[in-house]
Amino acid sequence: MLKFYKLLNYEVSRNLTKVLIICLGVIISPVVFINNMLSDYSNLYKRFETIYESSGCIIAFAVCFAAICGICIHSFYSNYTGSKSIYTLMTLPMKREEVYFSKLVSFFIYFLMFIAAQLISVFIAYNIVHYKVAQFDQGRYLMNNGLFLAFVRSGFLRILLPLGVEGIISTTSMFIVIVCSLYYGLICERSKRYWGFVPIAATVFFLIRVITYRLNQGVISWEYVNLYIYSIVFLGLSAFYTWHGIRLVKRGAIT
Amino acid sequence: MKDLKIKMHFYEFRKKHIALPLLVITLAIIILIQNYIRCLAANCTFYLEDLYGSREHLSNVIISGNLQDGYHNNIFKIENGNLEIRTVYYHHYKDFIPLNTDSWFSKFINNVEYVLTLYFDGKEVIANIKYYDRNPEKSRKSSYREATIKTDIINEKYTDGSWTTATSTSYVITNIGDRIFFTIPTTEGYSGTNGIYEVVNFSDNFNYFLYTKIKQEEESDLPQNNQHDTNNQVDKTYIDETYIRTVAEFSINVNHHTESSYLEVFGLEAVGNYLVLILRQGSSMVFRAYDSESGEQTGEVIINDSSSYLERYKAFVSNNTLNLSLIKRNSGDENIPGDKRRILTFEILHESHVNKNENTEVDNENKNAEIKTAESYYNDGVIMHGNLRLTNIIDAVYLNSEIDRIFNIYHKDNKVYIVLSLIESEADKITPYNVLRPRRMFIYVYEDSKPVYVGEIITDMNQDNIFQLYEPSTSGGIPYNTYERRLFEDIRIRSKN
Repeated sequence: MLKFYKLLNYEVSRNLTKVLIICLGVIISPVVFINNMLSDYSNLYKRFETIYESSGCIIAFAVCFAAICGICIHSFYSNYTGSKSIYTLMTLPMKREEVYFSKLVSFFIYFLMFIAAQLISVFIAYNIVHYKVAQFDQGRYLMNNGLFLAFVRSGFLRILLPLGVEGIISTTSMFIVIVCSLYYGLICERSKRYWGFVPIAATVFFLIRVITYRLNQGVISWEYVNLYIYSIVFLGLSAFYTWHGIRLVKRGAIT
Repeated sequence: MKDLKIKMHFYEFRKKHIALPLLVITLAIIILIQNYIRCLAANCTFYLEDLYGSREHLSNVIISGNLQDGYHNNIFKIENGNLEIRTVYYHHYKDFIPLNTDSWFSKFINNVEYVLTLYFDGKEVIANIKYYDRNPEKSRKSSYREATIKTDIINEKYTDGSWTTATSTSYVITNIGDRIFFTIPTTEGYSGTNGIYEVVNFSDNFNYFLYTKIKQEEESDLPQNNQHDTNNQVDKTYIDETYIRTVAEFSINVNHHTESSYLEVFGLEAVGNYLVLILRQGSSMVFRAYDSESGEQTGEVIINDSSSYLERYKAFVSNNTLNLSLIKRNSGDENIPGDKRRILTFEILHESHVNKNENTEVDNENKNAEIKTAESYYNDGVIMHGNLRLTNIIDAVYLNSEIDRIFNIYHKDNKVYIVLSLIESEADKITPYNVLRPRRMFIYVYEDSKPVYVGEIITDMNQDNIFQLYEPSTSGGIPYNTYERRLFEDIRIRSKN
């Protein structure tokens, strides 16, 4: 366990600076985008979620998300380049499950940091908007409790930070399956088990279905997707990815 | 030197112990923010303000309801004058409480749409009731059914596919549980025997007779010699008593000796196990209660009142009471700006006060006479008989405003509770769009037909229109999406005991 702890800290600290820079970018970006948007006074009467969504903050989120994925991929492949530290890793006097989990948990930490930074940035964005709207025309356009309403009504914010139980379970399972399948994809590629991309493709398909369904909640449609069932599917897939990933690492297939 | 040491310590710490604190801190941030946002739900404006009278008057009832948009719902409850709210979050369209969808043409009962259509065989009225299942989950299955009956009503004024009815057909359809009842909204020019009909069974098949019938009507410009024969042949095939049962019958013939006015049918409402027919005869409003099983008339109220319309009335039923809101005619006091309503409340007593033996023995005309001699005066111009009792007549004027919607009227003992929303009048309007005008939600309490309490439920709902109110005006109007704004729905009033 102590070895796992040491390895995990080593893995996390390797890319920490890069992740912190991205998080800083996530936090600062709304200051730029929202201010830009609000320099046009005709936008002030709009709801916060509309301003947030149309200002470009979501594009910034997508770019930063891709960057975090890139860091994870880089962190994995860096073991195969230069000093080929993968051989060192596989010969460490510790269980191979621990080697597997040290990377997976470090990925989770990167993504959690990113999401926490994103939430902080929403707070900052709201306060900027609130401040500007309150100053304009005696606050005529001000909505009471706008931050709460934005988290309830905006498709993006609702998926990022759900408030209802069903949404919390759905978002958590989506988060877990995204990280697990990313790691599993890397292991499959290294161990040349290319059929492993079939379940990953299925996961992506299900993810798109759930995300579009939850984004379109406000559009009146009679489609019904049971989020609990999809959450179970996502958690089941995550379990499979972890189990099979550990098997591949144990066999040394990734060297 | 010291700085360097601290720096070294930091790098050491970062390399050896950073993972766990990072995990804890990020999770804490996410959970705290989630908690904070959830707690913000209670920050919305939602309270009851007394405008007139004491809140004590609400102590006998519990008023509950929803203020929802497409994403969340503030469920509120007023008990002992305290308003409490609870927030639930929506994840699916199914969570959304369906908006009141009654239209001028059709009646919605449990998400099923019923449409009553009249057809004519010569001058005889044929009633056809259709059923469309609007439950979204069942939308893929066959959800259309219908039933047809040939009535004993003659429309003397029927010519070439044009006819009139007293009111829209959506007012004459009602239900007791799963049982569907309807009547025909006859007016001047109709004669014969109208009735209250119950749909026993809807037919799964399309009614082909009617289809051909309509075709015939379309082609009726061409004279056909054998038309009469074919009609007689099909008559037997489509009128099937297994689909519709006649519960009660009443004459709509004009008795030229005693009265000159015709009977108009304005509505049918179910109260408990009874059906109340809403009629007008000349300047009198007539309300008749019928037993839904036996079809026996058990009570009657006649109000001599021509100051209000029966058209477009609103009815609210609870337990054994029927509460009606009628639009008042503009009379002398026209210069008062505001919406005027007359509210009538009725009560149905459970034990029938009508002597059953007497009723069955006398024929129709004598029965009318019987009712008038056994009259009991409640007020000037009000005649009551049997188990139907008029309990309140309330005249309400909503100054400087228009009624947006009456959500509920409840009546218990000598008190009447009304929940409604008002829009401020045309004069103070700030937007050309009616739907964007601010609405205010009120609770009125009347005791012995006199107002004793007015309260307002103050919320943030009107702020949801800001994003459209101040939009630079577009030529094609505005999109109105009920998912994007908070609206009150499903307001219930019930007795505390």
